[in-house]
Amino acid sequence: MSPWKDVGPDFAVETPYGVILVEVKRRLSNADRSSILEKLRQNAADHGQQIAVTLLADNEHIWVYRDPRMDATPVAELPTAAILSEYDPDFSREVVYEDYLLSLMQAWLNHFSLSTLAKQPPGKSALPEDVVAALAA
Amino acid sequence: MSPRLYVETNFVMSVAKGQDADAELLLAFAESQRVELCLPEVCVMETFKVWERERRGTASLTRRLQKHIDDYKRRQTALGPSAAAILDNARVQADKQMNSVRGRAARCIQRIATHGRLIALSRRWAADGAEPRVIPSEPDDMILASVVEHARNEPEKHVGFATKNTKDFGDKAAVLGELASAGIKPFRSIGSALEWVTALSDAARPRESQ
Repeated sequence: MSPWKDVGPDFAVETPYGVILVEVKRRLSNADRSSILEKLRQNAADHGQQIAVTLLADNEHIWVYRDPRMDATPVAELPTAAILSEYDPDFSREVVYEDYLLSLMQAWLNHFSLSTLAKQPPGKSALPEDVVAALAA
Repeated sequence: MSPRLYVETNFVMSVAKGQDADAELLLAFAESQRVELCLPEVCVMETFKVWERERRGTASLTRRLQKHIDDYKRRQTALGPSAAAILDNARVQADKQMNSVRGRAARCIQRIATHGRLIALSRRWAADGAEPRVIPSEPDDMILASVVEHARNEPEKHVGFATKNTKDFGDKAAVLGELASAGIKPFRSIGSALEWVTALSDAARPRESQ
């Protein structure tokens, strides 16, 4: 059973670089993000897990972190609409509930893995190489 | 006074799925006060239960699609990246549809709450032990009891109840008798309720302009 099952990231993907964690909310305050990162950090410590990348997203921003044990400052903060409009051009025109926000985040992650496609994932150039490598794994 | 029309969960879901243009027209009529739309509050909860049930069905499909995409990622199977991207697009479209249904359901409830009325659960139904009396299904019996109690407490000259749920509300004598006892005219489709509202509204116009 995944050690992340009861902790509550919306999904966790195992990669050779460590686990990629994704959590979305319609709105995430600074305090919310700190609290989520702390919870994930603690769970990683409890289970000896290596976190490769953590993605926190709300309808305004996507925050990209490396392992929160190493650094609680995001390596990138991206505008959600600009990124996810690639997968749904109506993103800014419709109410986007959490389930669907998560689905679009999954599409973004999938895009990194399908790196042989002619069109590259939006926001890729704003991310450090090691983060891109983990997302593409 | 505009006619009053009680509607239930199927009305909201019809609007949410864009399946019934007549339901959209009735909402527009409610906004121009040509009809007083009333929705039992229990239908708000039921709407989200129906949506959740349908979302689980969609989630089962999208999980299968994601599994194929994951297989491609892990093993570079015969499924090429372009095919994986097509599958992913299908997955997103299915989730988008559920997101849109939820958004339209919420807007429909909001429009009824703003321009019509949400009506409370029948006190009598709850006080009598919350047991089905007319319709075996609790939610449907609860809706019927709430509509009937509201109509009795606040009588109006022209009162109707529109439901596409003919299986439970349809032609059953007990249901029709209960509605008739509160002066409620039953409609088996939103379209026939719309015709009734339109006819009453047109008939009222010359008198209003005199």
